[in-house]
Amino acid sequence: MNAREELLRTEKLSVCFQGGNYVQAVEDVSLSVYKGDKLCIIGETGSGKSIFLLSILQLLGKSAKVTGDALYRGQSLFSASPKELDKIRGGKISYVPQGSGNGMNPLLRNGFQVGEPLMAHCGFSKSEANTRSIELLRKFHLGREEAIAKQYPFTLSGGMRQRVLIAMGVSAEAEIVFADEPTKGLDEKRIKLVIEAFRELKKQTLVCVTHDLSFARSIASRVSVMYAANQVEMADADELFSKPLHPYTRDMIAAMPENGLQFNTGFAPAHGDEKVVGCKYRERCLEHDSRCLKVPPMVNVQNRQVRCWKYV
Amino acid sequence: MNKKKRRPNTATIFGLIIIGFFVVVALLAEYIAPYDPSALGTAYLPPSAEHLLGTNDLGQDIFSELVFGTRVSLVIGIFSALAVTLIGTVLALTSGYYGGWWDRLVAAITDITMAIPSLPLTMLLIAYLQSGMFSLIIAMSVTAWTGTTRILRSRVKQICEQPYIKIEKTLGVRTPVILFKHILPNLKDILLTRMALSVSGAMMTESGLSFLGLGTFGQKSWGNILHFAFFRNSILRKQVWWYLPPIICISISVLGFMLVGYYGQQRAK
Repeated sequence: MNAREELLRTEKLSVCFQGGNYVQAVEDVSLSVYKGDKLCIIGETGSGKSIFLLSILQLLGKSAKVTGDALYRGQSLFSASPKELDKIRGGKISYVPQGSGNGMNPLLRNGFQVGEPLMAHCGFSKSEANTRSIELLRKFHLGREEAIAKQYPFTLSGGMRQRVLIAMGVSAEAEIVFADEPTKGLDEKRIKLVIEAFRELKKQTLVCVTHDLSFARSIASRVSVMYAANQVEMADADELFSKPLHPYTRDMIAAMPENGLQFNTGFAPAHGDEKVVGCKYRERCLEHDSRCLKVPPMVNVQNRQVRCWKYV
Repeated sequence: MNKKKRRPNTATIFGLIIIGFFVVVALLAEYIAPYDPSALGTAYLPPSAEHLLGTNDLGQDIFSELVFGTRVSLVIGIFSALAVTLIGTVLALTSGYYGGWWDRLVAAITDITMAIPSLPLTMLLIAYLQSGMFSLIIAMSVTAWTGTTRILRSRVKQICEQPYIKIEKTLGVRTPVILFKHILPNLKDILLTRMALSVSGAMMTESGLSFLGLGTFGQKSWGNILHFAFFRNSILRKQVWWYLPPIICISISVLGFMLVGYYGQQRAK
C-alpha cells in the first residue's frame, strides 16, 4: 500500500461549530488518499461526512473551527495562500456538490457552467469549453445535449441537474474528485450511469461521500466508515463488505436491502451530547462491555483500521 | 426553445414613454427649439404664436429655454445616477464578497454618510468646486451613493451564501469571474431599479440646487428657469407661463423615472 503515491492526507482533522450550540461535527479523522483510489466515506446522516470534505477544501463558514491538518502532496492546505488554494481547488481537487437545488447559477447557461473549470484551469477558450462540456454532458446521457448546454438550469429536473453538476466537477480532470452524495435523487438506471462514469475516471482519484451502500460497494476500492463525527473503520472495500469488523459497520451492512433490511434500533447520539462517554456506539452496540466506557483507540487489524475495544 | 416573454406592466410602459419623450427632446433640442435660448429680445412677453411660452426678463424665449433645459437636467440626472450606481456597485460587491474589515469599514462609512444632511453638504461642495455640470454631478454623488450601496450589499451577501457561489469557489473559478459573471447579473433587477430612482433623485436635487442659484450658470436647466422666474417675481406678476412649465417638466420626468424604478422594485421582490 505504501508503494502507492499518497495524494492527500488528513491529520487529526476536527471540526466544531460554535455558533449557538457547540457541535462537534468531525473528530480526529486521519486518513490517506492514494493515487487511483476510489475511496467511499459512508455513514448515516449527520455523521460528519460532508463536513469532512468541505473542511478539507475550506468551504465552511466562519462559525466552524477546524483543527488538525490536511495535506495535498505534502503541502498543507490550511496554511496555503488564497491564490494557491484557487489553483488546488478545481484544478487539483474538484468537488461535486451535494443537492442539486441551488447548485447552479440560475442566470447562466448550463454549458457555460460546466465549462467554467476548463476555462479557469486548462486555458480553454469559451467555444472550446463549450464543445467539451457538450461531450461531457453526453457522457452522462442527458439527451439533447446541445440544446441543454444552451438552456438555463431551471429547465432541468433534479436528477438532470445532479448529473450536470457531476459533469462540472469532473470537467477539469482534477487529480482528486470529491463527490458529495452524487447519487442523491437519481433512479437505479441513472445511478448505473454515474457508476460507469466514475469507473471511467481511471486516472483520477475519487473521494465519494454517500449513504448508498450498494453504490459504494460497486465503485469503492477502499471504504471509510464514519459514525457520530468519528471514523470507526477503514478498510479495502471487498474486505469491509465481506467481513466488517466494527459492530456499527456490521449492523449497517446487515441493514442493506440485499441483506434483509435488519435495522439496529436507536440513532446516533446528538452532536455535543455530554452524556455520551466512551464509545459513541455503546448504547446501540450489542457487544459492549465495561471497556467501552472509555474512548476506544484506532487500532490496526490486518492492514485495516478499526476503532473498537474488541480488537485492542 | 420556449422563451418566456416578460411583459412589463402599464406603469412601466408609461414611464418609458415619458423618459423616451424627454430623451428625444434633449437629443433634438436644436431642431425643436425655435430660438437660441440665450438670444436676447423683448422682455416679459406673454405667450403668443411667436413665443409659445412668452419671454423672460432678458427677452429669452422660455420655450427654447425649456427645451434646452431638458438636455442639462437629463444629462446631470443620468450621469450622477451612473456615478452613484458605479460607486454603490463596486463598494457593495467588494464588501459583500470579501467581508471582514473592509465590509465593516464600508458599512460604517455608509452609515456615517447617511447621517450627514445631504443638501447642506452638497451646497458646501458646490461652493468650493468650480461651477459647472461636472462638479454638480460630483457634489451630488458624494452623498447619494449610500442607499444603493446598502441595498446592493445585503443582496450580494445573500447571493454569496448561495450554494452555487460556493461551488464556483471550490472549482477554483477566479474571483473577478465570480464577482462579475455570477454575482453581478443577479443584481440586475435592483441595479436598474436603483438607477432609475437615482436619476429622479438627482434631477430633483439638481432642480433644487439650481433654484437656489447653485446650479449650472450659463447653461439652462429647469431649476435655473425656476430660479429666475422666482427672483423676477413672476408669481406676483401672475406670469404662469414662466414658472409653471419647468415645474411640470420636472414633475413629469421624475414621475417617468419613478414609474420605471418602482415597477422594477416590484419585480425584484
